Amino acid sequence: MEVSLGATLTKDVSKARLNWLTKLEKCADAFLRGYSTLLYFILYAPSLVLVVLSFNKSFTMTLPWKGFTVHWYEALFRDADVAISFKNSLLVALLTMSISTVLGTLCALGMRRRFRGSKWVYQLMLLPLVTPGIISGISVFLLFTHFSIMPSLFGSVLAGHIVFALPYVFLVVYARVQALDPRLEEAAMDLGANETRTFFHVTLPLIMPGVLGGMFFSFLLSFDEFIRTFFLSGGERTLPMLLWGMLFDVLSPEVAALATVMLFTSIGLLLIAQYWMRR
Amino acid sequence: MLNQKRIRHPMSYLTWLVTPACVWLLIFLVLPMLIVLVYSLWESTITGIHPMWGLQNYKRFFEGTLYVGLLARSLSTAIFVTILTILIGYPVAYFVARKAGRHKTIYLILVLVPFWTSYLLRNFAWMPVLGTQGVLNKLLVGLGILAQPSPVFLYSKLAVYIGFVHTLLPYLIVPVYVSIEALDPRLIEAAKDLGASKIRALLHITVPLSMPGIISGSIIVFVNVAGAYVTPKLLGGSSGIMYGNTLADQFSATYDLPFGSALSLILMVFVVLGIGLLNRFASVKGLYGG
Repeated sequence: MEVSLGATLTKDVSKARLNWLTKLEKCADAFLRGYSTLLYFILYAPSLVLVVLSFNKSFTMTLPWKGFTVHWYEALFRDADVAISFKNSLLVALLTMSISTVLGTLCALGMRRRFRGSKWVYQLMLLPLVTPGIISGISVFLLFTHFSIMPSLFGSVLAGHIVFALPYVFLVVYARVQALDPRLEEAAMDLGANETRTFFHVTLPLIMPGVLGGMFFSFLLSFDEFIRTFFLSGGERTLPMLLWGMLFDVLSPEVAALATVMLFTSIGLLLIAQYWMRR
Repeated sequence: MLNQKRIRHPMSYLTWLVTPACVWLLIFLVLPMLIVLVYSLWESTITGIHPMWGLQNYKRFFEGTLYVGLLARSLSTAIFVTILTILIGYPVAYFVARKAGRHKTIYLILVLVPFWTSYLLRNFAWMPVLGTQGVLNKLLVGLGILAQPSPVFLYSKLAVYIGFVHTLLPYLIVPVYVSIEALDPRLIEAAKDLGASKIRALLHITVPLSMPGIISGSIIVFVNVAGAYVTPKLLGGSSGIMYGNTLADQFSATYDLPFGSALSLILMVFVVLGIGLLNRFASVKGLYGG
């Protein structure tokens, strides 16, 4: 009697405890969900404010809301400075993309097999990731001044941007190269394809998602890069440089419009990249 | 017995393909660092830069409290922001990796978007929010919490911290997410079968095994804060100056290249030290977790 009562009691208690634990877990999960949602909101809120303010019929970039207008976008598209800076940004980003994609892809292919010193090459490729942008910018600036070469968009800026973008291209392509199944290439060669044919018809298509990812990432990194350009452009302006110059003046909604355009350029490209890489 | 190593793959000459990338990095990353080292040992006078070898620039750095203090402040801010980012970001990464269910891809893309959008833009976005005429003030006055708009939010230490954490969070969340995602769920099942509660499994399995992600995220955050220029300049005001701003001034305002080079090199040494410490921490934790 005594024993069975004790057993039931223990059972009840443990059941209640389990019940309570499940409830606590559910509570924790709900809390985690709420917390994450809030954080996502905070992550996006300031950018959303910018977008809203860029449509405001006001002369300063502030609330209250005075009505909807696209005037600031019209002003932006009429602005010659914006056009030049946009062209500069685009050209530098395209060149950075082309060169760093080629260099990074070649390097990832070369690293397919371990060789003497491959560890060092790997460390060198990751070095830009741990170098503060400011130091990277300053040091390339010194390199150019030391050899009396004028800093320019397609000289020093391009050089610095490629250093910055290379590790990203290398890493995405390298992941693909490591996952390559050599038997596929061997099969192609057994069937009579030569090395060139095998490379273009088997190897390259297999690593293509990585290469495309690398292209997009290097383009975006260059398009948005500020601090390296700041030291290396020698007065020539890219979009981030133009935006920077505007920030120390009275902020008009035109600045918000410029920021919105930059924001959606990045988002658009990113979504295309996601779509392409998934295929 | 045949020596396996002697059999060369037909495409082993492909190894040479690493050369162009390596040469580029040697010319535009390693060589410039060496030039920084050389310049830091030279001297700048009114008549220009002279190759007078010596430690005068380093002496100037360590003489007063000005530069040492700036460095200490930047490094302590970097450590503080890194810890704060881990504490704030880890639960989100965990949520996306384990609890987001079928919306996982959307949550992931939503954290990747800020990852790939302009750092400058995401800093500047706080200006119309925190300013005296900003949205936050309008909101607080509207709700009756404040009697009149307060100028304390923008150009303050708080604004700098907000800017850092906000812009750097994605760089932490993404690698942590990847490492939680890569974790074998059977390990957690095993822990639970052995009687561990969910919390215990989280603290003893998930967190230690996601250490590599935490460390690589922390390195990015630490490096960015230690050398920060944009965030303190935009959100910190005149009192929020950090090491990166003083460093940049040597190249854009006072034009003292040798002293600026010394400042760069000192920062680089401390950044490398910081990364080394973080990595050491990772390997210790790895032993513990594995």
